[in-house]
Amino acid sequence: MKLSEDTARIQDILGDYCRTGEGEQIPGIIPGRVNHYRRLVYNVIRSNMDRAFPITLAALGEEEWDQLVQEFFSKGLPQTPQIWKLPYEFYNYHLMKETGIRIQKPYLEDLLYFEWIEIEVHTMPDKPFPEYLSSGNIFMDRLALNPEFEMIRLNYPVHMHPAAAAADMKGDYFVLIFRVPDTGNVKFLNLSGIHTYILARLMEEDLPLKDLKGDIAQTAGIESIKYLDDALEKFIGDLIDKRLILGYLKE
Amino acid sequence: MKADKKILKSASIIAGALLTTSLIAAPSASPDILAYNDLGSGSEVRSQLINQNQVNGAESTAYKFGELKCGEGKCGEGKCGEDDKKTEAKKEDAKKADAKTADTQTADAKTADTKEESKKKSKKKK
Repeated sequence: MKLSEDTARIQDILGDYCRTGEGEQIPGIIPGRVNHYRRLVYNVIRSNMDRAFPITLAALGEEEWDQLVQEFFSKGLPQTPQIWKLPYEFYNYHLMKETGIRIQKPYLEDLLYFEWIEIEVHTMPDKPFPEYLSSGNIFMDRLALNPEFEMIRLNYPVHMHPAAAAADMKGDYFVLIFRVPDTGNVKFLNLSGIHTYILARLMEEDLPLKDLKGDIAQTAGIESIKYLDDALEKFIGDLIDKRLILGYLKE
Repeated sequence: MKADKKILKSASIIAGALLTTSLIAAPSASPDILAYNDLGSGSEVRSQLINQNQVNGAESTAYKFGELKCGEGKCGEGKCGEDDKKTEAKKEDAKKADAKTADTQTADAKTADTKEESKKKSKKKK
């Protein structure tokens, strides 16, 4: 049902007031009470952000964290009607505003993203699983990947170190995040660049590992085939145990 | 959700990314080149990093709504069907009713207290 112009206008004024604490007199509101709306709405946003970004809160401390949430609340103009997606808008707002640089916490963007990606992977829509067999040959058979995962690249190792220490360790870091079938739990793996490359090739191409080995060896600068075979066998075997690789595709 | 520059989807992009690192420049494999480590589940990673990052006086919750059971958290819409949402709505209604009852009880208790206090006061006056 479409709102009347008056109702829509009053709602807008109330919304603006709740976000900024400023605004014209709202018709029909008893003075001294409207500030409680603002307080209560802010509490919902703050609580949502606290739960979505507990590591960032711990790293920044209460005061600085509150400033970030306040700024987003008053200036961010979130667009999503779904509260679980609000943390992404929070991350995106501070990314666009380059808050990390402004507050001299260069790792901020990575840390917020690292925390958001867990929610994204946990809540991603179910994807169709390939048909697979439990037994097969790691090198000769095509591998069936669990499709519910993401690989991300970070500039700071905030997934392994305290943020303050990570700030001095700028580089390239790769993290695999996946949802375990059946339990729905999210797991994290810290990967080398080569592992990231191997997984991306497996994901993109419908080929058995034996056909990719040459490229992998060349990309990684590995000369010993035995060394590569042993490492691949261990890596793929481990991913099968962890259920990132489900098994072997049915031919 | 818009595509993000941090998400790695293409092997060619990754190969490009690797070129910027010292990894490929190495002529032979170092022991670290094929090293990886399991960081654990979301809650394990979080607990550890919260402890490591704790700034004086800051308190953080060590759970996320993503890990609460369906119906307890505010997310889960990607996982749960409409039925779950309805169940959640019913639970919410039940919670509200409980809260109201509790409020009423508290109000009753307060009224009883006030009555007792005024009785005591009137006795003292006498």
